[in-house]
Amino acid sequence: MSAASLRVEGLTGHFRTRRGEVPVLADVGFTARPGEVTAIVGETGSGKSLTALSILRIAPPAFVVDNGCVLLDGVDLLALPERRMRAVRGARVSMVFQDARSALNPVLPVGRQLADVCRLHRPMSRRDAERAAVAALTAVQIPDAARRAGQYPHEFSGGMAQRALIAMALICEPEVVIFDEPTTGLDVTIQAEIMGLIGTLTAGGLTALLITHDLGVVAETCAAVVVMRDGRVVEEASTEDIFTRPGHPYTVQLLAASRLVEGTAR
Amino acid sequence: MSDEAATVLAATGLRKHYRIGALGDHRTLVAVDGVDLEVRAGETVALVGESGSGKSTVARCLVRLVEPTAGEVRVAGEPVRARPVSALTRVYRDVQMVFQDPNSSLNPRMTVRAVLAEPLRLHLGLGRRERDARVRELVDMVGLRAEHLDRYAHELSGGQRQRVGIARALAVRPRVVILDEPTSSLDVSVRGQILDLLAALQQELRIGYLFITHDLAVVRRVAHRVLVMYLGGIVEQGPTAAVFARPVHPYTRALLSAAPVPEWGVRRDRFHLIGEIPSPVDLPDRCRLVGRCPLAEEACSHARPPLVTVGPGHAAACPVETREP
Repeated sequence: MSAASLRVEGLTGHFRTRRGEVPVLADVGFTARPGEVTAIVGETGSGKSLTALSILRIAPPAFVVDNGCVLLDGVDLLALPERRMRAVRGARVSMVFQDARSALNPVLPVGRQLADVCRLHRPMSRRDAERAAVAALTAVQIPDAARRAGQYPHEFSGGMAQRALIAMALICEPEVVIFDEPTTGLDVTIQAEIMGLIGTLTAGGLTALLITHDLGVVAETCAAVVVMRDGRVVEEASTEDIFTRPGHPYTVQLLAASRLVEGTAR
Repeated sequence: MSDEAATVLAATGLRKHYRIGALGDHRTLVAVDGVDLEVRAGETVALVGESGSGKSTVARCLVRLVEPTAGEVRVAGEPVRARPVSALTRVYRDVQMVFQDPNSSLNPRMTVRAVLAEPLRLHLGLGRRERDARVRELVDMVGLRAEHLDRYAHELSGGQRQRVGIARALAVRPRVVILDEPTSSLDVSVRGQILDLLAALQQELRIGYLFITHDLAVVRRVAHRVLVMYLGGIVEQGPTAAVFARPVHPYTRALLSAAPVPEWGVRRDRFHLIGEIPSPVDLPDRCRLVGRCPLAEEACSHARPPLVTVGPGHAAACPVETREP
C-alpha cells in the first residue's frame, strides 16, 4: 500500500431537474492525508455523500460538475477518460457503503464477490482470487473466514456484512478508501469494533475519508475534520481544533446539538 | 416527580414467544422473557438495548399491537389484556404511541388536519367545529403553524413529520405515551428540538413516557430511570444518574463504554464482550451473557440470575457483580 494524498479543489456542481438547474456543491475543497482518517461531517442535504460519490465519479447522472478537480497524487481523476477511471475505481480508490447487506449481491457467496473484484483488476486464477478473498476476510477479523467465504450475505449479521464490505474495498490494496456512514444502523458495541478496525487499517498508511454525521465517532478516530453545510465547506481543521476551538458558528451549533447541551437546541 | 405520583403504565411478567420452524421441527423464539416495568405520571423511563434485544416487541405488547404470550399490563390501573381487542378503544385514550419512522407512520394520502382529526373523532366523538379547534391547538402545541394543516406528509421535513406524530399521539390527552426510537431517523440539530418539545409537553401535561431508544446520549438527557434490556430480559435498572455513574451488569458496562463521546481527548475504558448477540431461539435457562461475558463463573449457568438491589432503586441481574463481599 503506497501513500497517496487525496485533494479536492473547488468542486462545484448542480442537479439538472425539470425546474432547471439546482446548485448543490459550491467550491468544495479539502485534503485527506495518508495514515489519517479525515472526516467529512454534516447533516442531511449538506452534500457530504455527493462529494464522496463525485470523487469516484459515481454520482447520479443528473449531477453535473461545473468546476473543480479531484487530485490523486497530482492526477485529476475528473479529467481521466472513463476507461482509465475504471482502473482507479476499486483498485486505487475504493468505497465502503452505508448499508452493507444491501451493498452486497444477495445471490452470490460473499467470498465469490470479493474474488470477482480481485480478478477484475488483476490477472489471476479463480483459485488464487478465492484464496485472496479468504485472506481479506481474515484481515478484517472475521472468524472462520474460509467457511464464511462460502456463505451468502443473508447469513451475515450487520456487523459481519460491514466487515466483509471493508474486506472487499481493501482487497486490491487501494491508496484511498472512502467510508460512507459505515456504522450508521449498527449497534454501538459493533460500531466501536468497526471504527477500531478502520483506525488500525489507516495506521498502516491508508488514506481514509469518513463520511459521517456522528461527532462522537469523529472525536475518537479522525485526525482532521471537514464540516459541510448546504454544499459548502464551512470549516476544515484538525480534530483537536474542531472540538476545542471551533472556528465557525455552525460547527459550534453542531457540537452543541451532538452533546445535547440543555437549551441550545432551540 | 413525587413518590406518590400515580402509576400510569405497568407490566408484570410480560412474555412473548414465537413458534418457528417447519412442521415437526418446532422451536421457540423468546422475544420477551418476563419483563416487569412501571411508568409514573410525569416520569420518563428509558428502555435501552441493541437490535434484537426485544425492546420494540415490549412496546408492541404493551398496547397489544402484538399479542403477548403471558403477563399483565395495566394502563392507568385498567387491565389491558382482560379485554377483547375490539374493546381496546377506551384503553387507547390513555396510552398512545409515537413511531420511529414518521415517513411510514403517517398516511401519505391524508393531510395533517385529517391525521390529527381522526383520533378526535374516533376516541372523543368530537363534532367538526370542536375538532377543528383542537387540531389548531395541537399544531400550535408542537410548534407547527396553521399553514401546515393542509399539507401532506411528503411536503414536510423529517422533524416536522415527527412533530405531527407527536401531536397525533397527544390529541386524545393520553396519560402515557410510548415513544419507539422517536429521534433515530433525525439529524442531530432536529433531535435536540424534538427532545426539548417532548420535555416541555411533559412538564405541562404530566404525561408519562416510555422512551425506547439505543441512543445513550438521549437516555442521559431525558430519562429519570433507565431499564437495560438484553435478549428479552431486563439485566439492569435504576435512576439514570446512578446507572451511568456506576453500571453494574457486564452488559451495561459494555454498552456504556462503547458509546462514543463527542469530546476531544476522552479515553474510554472499554469493557469488551466476546462476539455478537446470539439467536434468541431455544435459549438455555442461564444468564443470557454466558459465552460472551469475561466474568462468567459456574454460578451463571445454573439459572437465570434475578435482579438484585445494588443501590436506591438500582438493581442488576449479575450473580458475580452483586455478590456480598
